Amino acid sequence: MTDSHPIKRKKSNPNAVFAWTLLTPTLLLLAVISLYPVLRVIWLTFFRWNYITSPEPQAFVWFRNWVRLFEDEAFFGAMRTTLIFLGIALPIELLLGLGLALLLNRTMQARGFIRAILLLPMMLSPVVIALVWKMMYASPFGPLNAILKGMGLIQEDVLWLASPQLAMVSIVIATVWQWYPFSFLIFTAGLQTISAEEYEAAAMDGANNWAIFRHIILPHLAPFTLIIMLSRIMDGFKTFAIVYNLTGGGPGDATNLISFHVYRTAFSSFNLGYGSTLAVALMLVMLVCAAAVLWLSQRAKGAK
Amino acid sequence: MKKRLLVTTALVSAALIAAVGSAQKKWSLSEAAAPYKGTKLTLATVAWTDAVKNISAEFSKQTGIAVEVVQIPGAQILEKTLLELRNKGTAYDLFTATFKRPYTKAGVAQPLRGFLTNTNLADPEWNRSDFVRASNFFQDPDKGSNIVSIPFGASGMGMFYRKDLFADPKHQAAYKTKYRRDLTAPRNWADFERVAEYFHTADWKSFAGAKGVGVSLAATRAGDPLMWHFALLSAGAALEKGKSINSLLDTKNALTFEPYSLSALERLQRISKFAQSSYLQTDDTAARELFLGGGAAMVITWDSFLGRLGTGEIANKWSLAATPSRTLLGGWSLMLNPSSKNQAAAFLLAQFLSSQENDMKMFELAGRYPARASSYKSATYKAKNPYGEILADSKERGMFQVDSQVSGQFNATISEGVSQMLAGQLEPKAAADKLASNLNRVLEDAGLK
Repeated sequence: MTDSHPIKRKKSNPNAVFAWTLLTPTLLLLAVISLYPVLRVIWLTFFRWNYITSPEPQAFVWFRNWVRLFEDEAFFGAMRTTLIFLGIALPIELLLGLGLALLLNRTMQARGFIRAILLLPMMLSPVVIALVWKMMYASPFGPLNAILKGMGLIQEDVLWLASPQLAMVSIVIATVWQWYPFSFLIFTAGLQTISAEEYEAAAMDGANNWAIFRHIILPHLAPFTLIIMLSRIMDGFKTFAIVYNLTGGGPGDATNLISFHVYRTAFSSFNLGYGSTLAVALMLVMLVCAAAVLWLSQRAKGAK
Repeated sequence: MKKRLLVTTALVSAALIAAVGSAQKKWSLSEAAAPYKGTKLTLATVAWTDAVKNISAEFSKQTGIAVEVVQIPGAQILEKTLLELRNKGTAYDLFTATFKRPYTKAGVAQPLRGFLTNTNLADPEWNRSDFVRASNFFQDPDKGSNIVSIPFGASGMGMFYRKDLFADPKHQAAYKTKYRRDLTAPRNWADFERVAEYFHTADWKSFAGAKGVGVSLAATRAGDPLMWHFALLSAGAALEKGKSINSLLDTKNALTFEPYSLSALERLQRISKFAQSSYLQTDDTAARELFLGGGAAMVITWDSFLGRLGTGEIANKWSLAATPSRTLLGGWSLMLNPSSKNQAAAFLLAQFLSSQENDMKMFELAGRYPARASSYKSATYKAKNPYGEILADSKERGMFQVDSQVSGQFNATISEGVSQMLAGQLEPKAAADKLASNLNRVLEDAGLK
């Protein structure tokens, strides 16, 4: 008897071999510059290591750094502050970017020039932005207070960086000012993907502006919104320069965002063991957030 | 017999000729540097870059050794240089440092005794005993005999006040009525509090016509002078009891100092009520500006402020006193990179920069305060800075921050605790508790507890 289903032998695909040959150097390079540092930082979480007293990790302490992390009020405080910061800044960035993208999506004079101007803050260094805003918030003589007084909105100077609540608002304003152009840019790109025919068809069906926005624009922009959220959540957790230069995490610990907290632990304290633990914890939180956003988007797609 | 006499005479003559010859041969920088001609040095400094460049250019002219001067902010110098030295990097041959223990503990402080005793390199006129205390020490803090740095600039805090207001009969009378004592520059913290309260409530105006405040306070979390002054108190320095903050390291328990911390924090909280409302967002520069604009009766800041007071409306209306109780001292020194291939040349540069002539030149060019006692006594210095003696007194009564491998952590911890209290997030007692517990954690992490 012969087998009616002859065994299919796997043939090596010459294209795949070629592809892997081309990819290998890049993968090796990535492994060296990305994977190794990550693994090394994870490994360091199991050590006590004060860099000043020793050039090498001092003692293997098992999970002691992790236990400390869960008892560390400052870490959870910084994480909470970061989530509040993101919770305020991200929606504003999205709304502002979307509004401006919609506004500039119609034919108008100097549209290209206005778009270019709007993108400028994103191109500046965060350090420069922090210093500019520091001057803006100054009291007395800060331009922001002068403008608000000129408009009759305030009588006395607002102490932007001197109260815990306002300091957070100030950090948010500076961050939104820098990053709303990112969402503006992505939303503008998203709006370009909607064909004129769709608008025309909707208009012929009698759809008003709100209906067009609700049923055509928003669904088209959903994946773009996701890109912005993912990217900005990652960036938000890494916000450092603005805090470092504008408030130093203060007053008190009002603007002590997690990235700044990790830096202070690892580098101004040279406590590399626990600093690594904080960094890995931050990475895990970011992964969870990214996964949550992706899961939500998948669910939204499924619901469609 | 004759032969022996002849030999003895010849030997004695040779010795005398050698002695006279060597005594006549004067040490010269260009000769000492001759073997290193063509070398290029990199010097990292925290400030005064133009002045250092200027003096280094003269050094290059005399020696043929090129010098590149790079500036690293004071807040980053420890982190940057320590990481560089730890990794055996050679980006800097010579650098300015304030704390020495982090380097000695890390084993990256280059011993200098060999250079200082090398007759080819050491300038015999370079007087090692001519440095004021505040200019920071030469020694390894743990091993006194190990010299690891060369003093390069001193600083101390001073209390600047409005002498026109203090001398005003109207204020003198009102103060006497209210407090039953004369209005003079405060000598202790209780006085300071009273005077701050008086001028905060009294009727007087800044040069621009705004209501004046008692004290110009700088208290951003990044760490500013008056805050640090109190922060030191709150760390348990017990300055008023004459103890050194370094005793915190001896007791190995910050809780020991908690009563002092609490009292200092409470005082700071009271004094903050007599300051400008924006003090939590006021850094040292802004605090000085307020005083310059006539908006505050007093400000405590580093002595470098003197350079700003000679002009403008404030010019004849201010005076300077030693800070209440004991003052905080600062000072910079020059350290060599143990991995540098150009150590001898770098030593020559350090010696040149800290010579008596250049010590004064740094003051003249950059306003950096002299490190040498002779500079403070010189007529030139006194003519340029009539307040030098007050500062010298302040320095004599002063004390340093903790020179430890954990200095940075101490400062950050104290800054955080004080800032939380001033921001109203913690009551003084809770802040003192937290401070003590966090400081103990720092000691524990560093293996010092």
